[in-house]
Amino acid sequence: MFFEENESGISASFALSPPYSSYPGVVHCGIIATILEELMGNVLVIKERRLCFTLKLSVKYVQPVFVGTEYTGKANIEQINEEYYEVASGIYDREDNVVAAARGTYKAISPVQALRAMDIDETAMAKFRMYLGGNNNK
Amino acid sequence: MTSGFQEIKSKIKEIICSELKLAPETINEKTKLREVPGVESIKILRIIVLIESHYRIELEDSVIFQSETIEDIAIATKNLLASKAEDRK
Repeated sequence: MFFEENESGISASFALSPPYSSYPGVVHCGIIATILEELMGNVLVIKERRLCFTLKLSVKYVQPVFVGTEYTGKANIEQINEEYYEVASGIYDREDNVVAAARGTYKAISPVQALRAMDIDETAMAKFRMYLGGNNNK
Repeated sequence: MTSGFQEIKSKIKEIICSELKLAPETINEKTKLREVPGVESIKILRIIVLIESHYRIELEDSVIFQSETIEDIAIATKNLLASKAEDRK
């Protein structure tokens, strides 16, 4: 997905192919959750320049998401607390009706903590650092 | 966000009327949502998501399935907002 930044958050348009379906023609709920979570994780990187991990993810499925149909995903940060972020995301059809929505809680970690917690090396980490701006050591 | 109970009821009514394309005078806070013509479970779910998005809250599943009237949803919303405000103190 290609994320576009806007004033309140980010958005991304997408259409999924049949391999992502569960019932014929209908996107699997786990894929929808993945997209919603990806939107929320990326709004934190793009808007806050922070690496975060997911503490909590809650999804509401309102209507089926169909393969081969274009949707728009949107995410925005709702609350910035000392210890964590509260973020929301949604998937909208062409008429801007919400078809699925999520809320997530995220904990920011420093690149040093990320290196320690994940099995990645400094080369892989460099890929993330370019997005972090002045927050490289937070 | 702090909101008075009356404001919450008005906002929820506005969301419902907008989503169901109803004239405001056709429903009131005691109207049973599932008895409103044209209402189906998907529309109620969408209304709940719109309320959650407006107030930046997450309503319990029991609110979705057990609330009968606008007032019921407004009470749950008010209580959740109060609880969140308390958590932030």
